[in-house]
Amino acid sequence: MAKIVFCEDEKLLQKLICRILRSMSHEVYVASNGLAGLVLIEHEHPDLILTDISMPGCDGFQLADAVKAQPYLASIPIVFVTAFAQRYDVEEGARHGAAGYLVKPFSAAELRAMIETALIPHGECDVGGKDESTLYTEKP
Amino acid sequence: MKARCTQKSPSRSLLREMFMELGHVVQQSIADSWLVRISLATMVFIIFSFIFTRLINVLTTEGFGPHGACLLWLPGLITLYVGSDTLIGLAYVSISATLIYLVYKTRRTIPFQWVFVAFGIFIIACGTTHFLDVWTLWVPTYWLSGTVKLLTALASVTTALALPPLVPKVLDLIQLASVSDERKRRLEQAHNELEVLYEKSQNLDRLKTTFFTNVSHDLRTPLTLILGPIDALLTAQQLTEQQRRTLGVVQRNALTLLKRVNDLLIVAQLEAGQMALNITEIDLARLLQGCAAHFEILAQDRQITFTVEGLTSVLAYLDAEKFQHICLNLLSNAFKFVPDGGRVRCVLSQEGEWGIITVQDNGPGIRSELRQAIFERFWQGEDNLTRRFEGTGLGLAIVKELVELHNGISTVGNAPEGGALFTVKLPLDAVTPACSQPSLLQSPVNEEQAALFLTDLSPVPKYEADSVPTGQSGLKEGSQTLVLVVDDHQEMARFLVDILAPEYRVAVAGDGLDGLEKALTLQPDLILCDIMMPHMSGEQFITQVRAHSALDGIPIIVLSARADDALRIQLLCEGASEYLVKPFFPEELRAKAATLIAMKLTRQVLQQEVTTQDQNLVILAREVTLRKRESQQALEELRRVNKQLIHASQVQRNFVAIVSHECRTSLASVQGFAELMRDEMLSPEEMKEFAADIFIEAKRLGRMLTDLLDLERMKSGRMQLIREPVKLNALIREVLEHLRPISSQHTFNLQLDEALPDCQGDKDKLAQVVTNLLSNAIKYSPDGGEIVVGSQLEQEMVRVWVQDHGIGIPPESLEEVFIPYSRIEAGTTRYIKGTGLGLSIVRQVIQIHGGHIWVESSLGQGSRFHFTVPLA
Repeated sequence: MAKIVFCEDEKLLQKLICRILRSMSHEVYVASNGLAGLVLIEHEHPDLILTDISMPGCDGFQLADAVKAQPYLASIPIVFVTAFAQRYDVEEGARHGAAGYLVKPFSAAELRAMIETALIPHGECDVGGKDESTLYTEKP
Repeated sequence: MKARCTQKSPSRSLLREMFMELGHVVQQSIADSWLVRISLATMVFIIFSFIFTRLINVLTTEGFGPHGACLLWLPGLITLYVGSDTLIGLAYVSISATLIYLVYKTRRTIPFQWVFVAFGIFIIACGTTHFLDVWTLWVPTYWLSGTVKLLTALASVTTALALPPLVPKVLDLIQLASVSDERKRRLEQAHNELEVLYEKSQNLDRLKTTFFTNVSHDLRTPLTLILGPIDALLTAQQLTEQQRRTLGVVQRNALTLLKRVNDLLIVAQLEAGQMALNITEIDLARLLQGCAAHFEILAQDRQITFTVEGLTSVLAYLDAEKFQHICLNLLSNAFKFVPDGGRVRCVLSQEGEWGIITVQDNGPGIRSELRQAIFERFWQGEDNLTRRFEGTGLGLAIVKELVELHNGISTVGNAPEGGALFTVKLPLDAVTPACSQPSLLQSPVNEEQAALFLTDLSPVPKYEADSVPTGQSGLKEGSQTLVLVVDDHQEMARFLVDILAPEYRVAVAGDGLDGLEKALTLQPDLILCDIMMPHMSGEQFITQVRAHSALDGIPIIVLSARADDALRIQLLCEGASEYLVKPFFPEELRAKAATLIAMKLTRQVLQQEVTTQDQNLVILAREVTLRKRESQQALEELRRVNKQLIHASQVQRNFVAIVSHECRTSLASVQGFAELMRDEMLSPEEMKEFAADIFIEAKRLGRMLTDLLDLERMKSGRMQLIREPVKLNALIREVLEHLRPISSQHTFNLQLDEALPDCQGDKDKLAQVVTNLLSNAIKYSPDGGEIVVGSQLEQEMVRVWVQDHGIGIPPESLEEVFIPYSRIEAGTTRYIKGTGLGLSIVRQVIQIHGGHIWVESSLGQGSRFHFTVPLA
């Protein structure tokens, strides 16, 4: 079970994705925009951040930049769930440090697989201990 | 005079002013009034005559008792008188002696010395009266005592009269002194500041050099890691020819980069004064021949007659590596400028204690006024943008500084054959060899360095005939669209051709002149051009292209290695359509090329349609071409259309982005909930709930489609209105009832004109207008508040307005809110919410009705939308 912060401004998608995540028995914290998301992330130190890109105020890319700028948060994997489907958008996602990029519409199975993959290095590290500075380093 | 006196304390300044006034009056009266002068002279005359008449009796004591008797000869009182008078007298004398001594010592510099003298005399006179007072205690010479007092009085009066007129002068003097003091202080301050600045600039210089060195060092590491693996790859056997060629390009360019980084590093070291000489005994002839040997293959390839002449052995104490560097730089410079089939001659000679190396070519030579400049750093033969030759322009600067490091001299002149003649004179014993190193007579030339020099010079390998990207022969068949690439860098041109060839026919020109010719003959649909090119720079090329009416409308993409905003803006103003900074992604170039070509073709089609559809327009166009002024207008019109097309293309892109985004978002919910319903065991309530969610999203999608279709239909004039008399007030009330559920935070204030006559229009469409305007008002006043809806009869029209107290619209966006899909450009954040078609539809509907719509707004205060529709 992992702790996930999820940012999305569409209420229905919030409901849908929360349901899927909870059915995977993850602990989910939801924010309706980037700023609220950032506050949640600082407070909760989640194992994964799942975020939309198009959000009012602070968008998903800005959120990712803010997270990557904090050394103690930078190692948290970020997965974008977005309706921006151009190749350029995906590349930009990668530039903002995406661990995954899921284009809407998506199937529950895709979302699950994406989450599992993004969580792998983190999961392994949890076995080794909670020291965040060693994240990713134990991966063969 | 008054104005010049500035004093800090007001009371002091008042006192001083009074003094000055007094002095002024006295001075004036003495100077101007004869009466005063005459009366003064008369007074002095009377006094002196009185003294003379009495002179005989001055010393008489007859009839007087001594003053001591008045004091009853009381010993205490007598002692008191004698003591105090004597002390006062002595003090007076000593004061005046001091004053007179002072004047004597400083009479050249002290101002108003005679005043001091007069003062001294006055004090001496005072002292004498006191001595006489003691004398008259015993000897009653009262006449004498009185006379002395009279003299004292005269001295005092004179001094008193003379002093006031001096006051202003003294004040001036004080003022001057203070001004000069101030100046001195400022001078010192300025001096200090200068010192600080100097220190600062020194520091900056040091920092710059350190930065330079660090950057160069840092660049070498990744370069090594580029070159190493490439070498490894190139030695591997299983490469295809194409791969080998591509790798060759990478390797050559990485080597060029390394050479430039090395040059920069040397310059940085020279600048920091860190370049130390490693003096050993060397043979100049052998080293020179070693360097020259590297150029022989190149000379053969280019059919250059290359000779090394002169002495076969010259022993010297120099730094071998630096000497090689000097030779390599001189030779590579000569080879850079000499034409194919030319001649390079290198001579080594000895003249007393000097070793002399001359290198001459029959290239373009160097104009006499530039002979100093070519040894400066970063200088290159011609002006900035029309560079004929590659490189940083550091080579000769390095030569000069390395030669100077050896206490040698480098000069340049004209060779007898017309080219440049470089002469380097090096002392054979550069510096006394403090510790003579083991002899390096056999020192081999540093191979790696020489290789780098040659990379810079070697001609790029020619491509096979079928793919030579020069001239029309390189055109790719299969597409009608033609792109002209203007770039002098062959590998770059090749790279561009590779990017574009799959989709377009591509022609290549080697410089601006060639490019202009080819553009005129080939009439391409797009031009790509570099900025730094020989003969005609990219900038001149663009100006020339834009000056030819035959080339009008051909978009130009500028490719530049300079990320320079000023240049970018300048070129865009001069007619470039796009400015791409190297390095760029091939995808980016393809996308930009596609957009520009599409725009150009669209415009052509539009123009053709205009010409064929309306004969009048053709006639008009003919007339227009006859008159220069009018043709200018047409040109401007074309530019405007171009701009509109650019905007249209932007709008088109936004349309795709927005619609795709919105569809995907809604579909995500629909698909997700449907999947849940299919795959999971849900309770009937949940089923119902999810079905409702799907319904909401499906409705949203449907609404969006309706909006899109409506808008398109209205824009193309295919929307049919069902016109009937409409009671607008009733319609507004009806719409409000529908919106109540989503506007619980807002209060509605109706200012409807109850006597409003019916208007003529389509009831459903007008209801949509009011709904959209009210939804908009609700959406953009998220904190609630009052929304005013009003109606009024105005000049055969009905005017309706909707006012909110929300966030308002910035003035520059007032018109944009009605343009479909323009919203995405607004912010810096990526945020799309809804298609933003509401207001565009409102405008279309009102326009079809023959009415007007406009908006007034101020940021933070809210907006007021108005529309008018005609009466029934």
